[in-house]
Amino acid sequence: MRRIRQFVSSLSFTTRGVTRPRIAMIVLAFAAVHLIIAGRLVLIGVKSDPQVARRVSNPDMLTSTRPDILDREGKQLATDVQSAMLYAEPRKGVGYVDDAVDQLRTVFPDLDERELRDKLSSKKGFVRLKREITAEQEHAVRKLGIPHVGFLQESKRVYPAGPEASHVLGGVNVDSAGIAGLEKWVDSGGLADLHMAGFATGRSLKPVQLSLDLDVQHAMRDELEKAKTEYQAKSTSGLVLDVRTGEIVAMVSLPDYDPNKPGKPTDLSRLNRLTTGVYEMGSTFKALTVAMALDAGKVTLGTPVDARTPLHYGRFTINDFHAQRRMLSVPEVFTYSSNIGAAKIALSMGVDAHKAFLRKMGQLDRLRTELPESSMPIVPKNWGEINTATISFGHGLAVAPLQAMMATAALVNGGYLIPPTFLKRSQAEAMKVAKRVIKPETSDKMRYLLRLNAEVGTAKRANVDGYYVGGKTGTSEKVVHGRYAHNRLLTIFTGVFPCDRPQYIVLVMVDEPLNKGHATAGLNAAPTAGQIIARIGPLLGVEPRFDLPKADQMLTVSQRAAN
Amino acid sequence: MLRGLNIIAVGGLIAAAAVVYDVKYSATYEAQKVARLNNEINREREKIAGLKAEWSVLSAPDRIQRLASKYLGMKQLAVTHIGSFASLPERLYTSADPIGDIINSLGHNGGKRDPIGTIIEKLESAKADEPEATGSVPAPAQPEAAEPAGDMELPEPTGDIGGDGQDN
Repeated sequence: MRRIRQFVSSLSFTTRGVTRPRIAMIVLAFAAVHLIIAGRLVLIGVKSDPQVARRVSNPDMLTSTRPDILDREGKQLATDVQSAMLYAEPRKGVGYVDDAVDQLRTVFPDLDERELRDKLSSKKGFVRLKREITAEQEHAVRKLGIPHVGFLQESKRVYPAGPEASHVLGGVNVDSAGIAGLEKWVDSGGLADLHMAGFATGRSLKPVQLSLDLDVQHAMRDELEKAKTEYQAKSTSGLVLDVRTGEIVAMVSLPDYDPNKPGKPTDLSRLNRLTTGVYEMGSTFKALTVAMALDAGKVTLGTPVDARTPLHYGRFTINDFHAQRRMLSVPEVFTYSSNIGAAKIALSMGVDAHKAFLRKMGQLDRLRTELPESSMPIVPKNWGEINTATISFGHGLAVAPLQAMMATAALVNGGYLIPPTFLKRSQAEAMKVAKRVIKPETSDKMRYLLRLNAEVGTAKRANVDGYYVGGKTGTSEKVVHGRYAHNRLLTIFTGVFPCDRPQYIVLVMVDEPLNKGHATAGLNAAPTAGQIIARIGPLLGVEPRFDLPKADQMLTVSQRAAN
Repeated sequence: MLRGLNIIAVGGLIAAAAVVYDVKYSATYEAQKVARLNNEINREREKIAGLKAEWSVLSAPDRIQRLASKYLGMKQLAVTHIGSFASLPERLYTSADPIGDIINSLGHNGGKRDPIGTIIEKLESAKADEPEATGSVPAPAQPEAAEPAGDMELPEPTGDIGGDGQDN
């Protein structure tokens, strides 16, 4: 107390002297400094620094994470799991190397002794000893108490369904960056930049929901595996597309790969035949030819088409596989799969109209989806009459199968060309991007033709009771060294179900079936598609109906009279 | 006067310092708690994610199919196995007041209105036609008919009938 009094009195003494202004100055200066500090404190209090907060909440998360990928039902197709990684800092010293090696090998007997010794006795600042360590192992290693050996949390991309949807999902590299498929597409949406900035950590990322259905995907893959074995084919592939929304419900291309295991990108199994490969789609293209002529009013279902004699173009001869050698009606051209008839119909439209129609149907341009991999169709450079004649039955123009399916879907869904997508979308959203390409009446007729073909034509073996399947087969010879090879076939089936109100379109491709008895599409691709439809129908919630009329009654009398 | 003021000022200063000290440390404590909880939440999230991934692996369709074909001997669903509401048969007995009906049937224990009792009676009388069973059936049938649940055990005490039924 006395001291304070002395201090106060001394203060009051000096303030009376000349030093008074100086003191005032000092007081002012201090006040200013304190004001600044107080202001800064208020600022910090009001607005907390996000970077600091993140560092506090997430101390040891090293690698960045990716969003989960879910199927349309919410099942996981890809996810991140955290695992501990064991590392050492040999430069700082790990004690006696031999002791450390022995001790570590008591916990991890599978570690190679020499390799471990080499790593620990090196002079590196950081060596990775083992990945994916369980909690028990981590505890055991901590108890060993080896200096400068520690753990880091790292995230690893896992595909729980294995190879099931490999081509759609693609894969990631060791740095968690997408290198193929939808994983790469996910990155293109700005995720890569987030990774670079270190923001994409934790589980903050919104999952990506796909249009795929894992169960349908599996059923299809299973059936295609069986078909591949049965017909001894080089490859089988298949696709299920929702014709109302353009959603890809299943996409399988065998052989495929396990995205959980790293592999060479050049490996043949990495090729997605449905988007990256281009093929001559064979007789399945006749559907487009007939739809074009029907839509333009050039032919009606009753128009006779002369299929009596083969067509000759120089050294080329166009002939029929199931030759009838007579006048055929348009439905007969379709069900007998007459090349001559299809060529005649296309030629009646003229080369330019044919080309324009195919362009409108998206068959001449590269089809881009979310998948980064896509291919340009192979279009003849000089498109003459001969090209129109052969393209009318699917030879001379090679397109990606997905592209052909988009067009076939437009033929049956009432005439809307909907760009296919791998992401879930509603019918309303699909209609915003849809483009009308043919009249609804033409679509009705195409449904009738496809159904008829499954009742009396080449697609009989694809028929499944209750699902009212319709479809078109196609068998094309593959080009080997610039020539069509008679013994190397590509058989294709495109099926629609249910044909009166189409919901899904199924594509099956069998590449180079060796089994001699089952060479053409009607004998291998079509029954496979039938199997697939029988299996996925219930999964997709398509109600089987047994009271449906024959194809002949599909078009009402008035409609047929109008033809 | 000045002295008193000074004392108050010093006391106030000390009190203010104490309060600030307390606020600061309790704030730090709360911040630590928040950080700890956040950490815990993150750990739990990771655990959930890990378990979800595990579940996805375990429920992968390929695995389920492999296991099902090995242990269950199930068959593929055929189209004919799928029914619709329309194909279901009409309900046998419909009533505006089903509970009332039950009460009524309990009230009239004479047996005629009791559906289960009637059925059993019919069965009994059918069995009664069989020569060997004659005599042993009617006696227990009448008293037991009052209680539908008891009716089900009817054949057991007689033994003969149950055995006969199986042989036939």
